[in-house]
Amino acid sequence: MLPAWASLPAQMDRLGANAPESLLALILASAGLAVLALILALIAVGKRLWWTSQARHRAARVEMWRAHLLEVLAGERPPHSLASQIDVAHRDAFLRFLLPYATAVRGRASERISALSHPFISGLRRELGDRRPSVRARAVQWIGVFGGPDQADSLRRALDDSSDRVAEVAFRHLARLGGPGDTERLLSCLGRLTHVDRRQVSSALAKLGEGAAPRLRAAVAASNRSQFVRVCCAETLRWLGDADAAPLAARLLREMSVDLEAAPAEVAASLLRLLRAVGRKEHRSVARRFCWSPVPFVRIHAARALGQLGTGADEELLNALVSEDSSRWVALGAARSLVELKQVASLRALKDSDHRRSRLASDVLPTSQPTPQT
Amino acid sequence: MANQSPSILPEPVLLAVSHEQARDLLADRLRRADADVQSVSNGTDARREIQEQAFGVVVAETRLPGRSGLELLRSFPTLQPPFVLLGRQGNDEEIERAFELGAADYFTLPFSPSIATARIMRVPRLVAAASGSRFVSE
Repeated sequence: MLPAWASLPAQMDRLGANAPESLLALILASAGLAVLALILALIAVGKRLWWTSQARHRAARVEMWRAHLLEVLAGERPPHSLASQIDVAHRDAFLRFLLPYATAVRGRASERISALSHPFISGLRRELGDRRPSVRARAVQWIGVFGGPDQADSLRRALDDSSDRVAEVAFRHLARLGGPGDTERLLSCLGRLTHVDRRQVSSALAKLGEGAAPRLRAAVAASNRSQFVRVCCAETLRWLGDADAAPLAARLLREMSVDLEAAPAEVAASLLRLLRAVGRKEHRSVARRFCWSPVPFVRIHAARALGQLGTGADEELLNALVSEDSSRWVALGAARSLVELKQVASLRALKDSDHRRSRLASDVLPTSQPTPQT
Repeated sequence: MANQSPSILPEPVLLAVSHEQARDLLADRLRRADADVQSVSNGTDARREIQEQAFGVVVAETRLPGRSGLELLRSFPTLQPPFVLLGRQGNDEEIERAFELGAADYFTLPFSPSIATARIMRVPRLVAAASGSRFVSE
C-alpha cells in the first residue's frame, strides 16, 4: 500500500484539470496582492524618508533662526536681516519658534523681537476675522505677545469676540498693551471670564499699573458689581500695593460687619487680605470684628490681617482663636499672627500642654535656627 | 558643553534652568562675555555637577524639576558656589526666602539678557573681592 502523500501529485493534477481557470485566478490574485503589498511598502518607506528629510530641514531651519536670533538680540545684526529671510510659508513656524523667546525677555531684547515680528502682524490682523475661534485666539495671542501698544485697538475689538476663549486671550494681552483708560472696558468683560482663575485676572489687571487704581477702587466699592469683579479688583489693588485702598477697604468692611451673616464672604476675605497688605494700625478694629464671622475662611483672613495690623492688645483674641476656634486653619492663621506680633508666650505654654492644639503651636513657633540640609 | 575660550572668570558658570530659551539666551550672553558655561535642565543633574566640579557661580531656576533652586541652595549651606536664583514675578515670599538662605542675587523671568548677564558676572567678582583673592576681571 502506497503512503497517502504519494498520491498527492495525481490529486493535484486532477484538481488542475478540473478547475484550470480558478487556479489561474488564484495565481493572478496572489500576484496582484504581492504587487500591492510591495507598492504600499514602497509608499511607507518613501513617506518615512520624506518625513525624516522634512524634520531634518525643519531642525536645520530652526537652528539657523536660533543662531541668527541670538545675534539680533545681542545687537550684532539688525532685526530685519532675519525677518527678510522668513518665507511666507514658514511664518507660523517662525512665530511659534519666536514665542518662548518673546515671553522670556524684556527691555531692549523685547523691542528687537517686536521689530523682528513686525512684518507678520498685518497677516495676523487678517486672521482676527477667521471663522475658526482657535485661529482667532492664536492671532490675538501672537499680536498680544509680539505687538506694541499700537496693536491695542485690535485687542479691544477682540474683547467683543463671540468666543469666550478669544475674549480671554484679548483680555490678558490688552491689560499689558493697553493703559489705565482700558480699565472699565476690561472690567465690563469680566462677566464672561468667571471661569478664569482670579489670580490670573488680577495679575493681568495689575499690568495696567497704578493709573488704574482709582477705577479699581470704585469697582470694589460698587455693590452692584458681581462678587467676582469686586474680588478681582481688591486682589489687583493688593498686588499694586495701593495704600489709598486701605481706608476704602476698612470702610466697606465696617459696613459689612453690621451683619456678619449677610456679608459677602469672598469680598470680605479679599478686603481683609488687602488690609493686611496696605492697612495701618488704625484699621485693626475692623479686622477684629471679622474674627467672629460665621465663615471660616473669612476668620482666617481676619486673623492673618491682625498679624500685620494688630498690637499686643490683640493677643487675647488671637489666643482664643488658637485654642478655641472650631477650624484648625483659623487657629493656624491666628498662631502665625501671634508669631508675627512676637506675642508667643501663650503659644509656648500651649506647646508644652496637652491641649489638642499643642502640636499646632509647636509647628508654628520659630526654632532657634533652621538646620541646613545636606 | 563648556566653552573652551579663555574666560575672565576663573571658574565656569553653571546654568541650571529648565526654560530652554531662557537658558539659551543666558548661555549665549555669558559666552559672549567670555565666561565658560555649562548647562543642565534639572536639579538632580545640577546637584551632581556642583558636587563634581567647582563653579564660580550657579544660576538656578526656582522651579527647577527634580530639585528646585531653593532646595539646591539649601543643599550647599557654605554658599560655595554662590547662587543666583531665577524666579517668576510676583513671588515676594520666595525672594525673601532665597535671600534668607544666602542667595547672592535673584532675578525674574522675563529678564533683560544684558542686565541679567551683568548681575551674574558680578557675583564671582564680589565673592573674590570679599575673600581677598585676586583675579583680573578686565
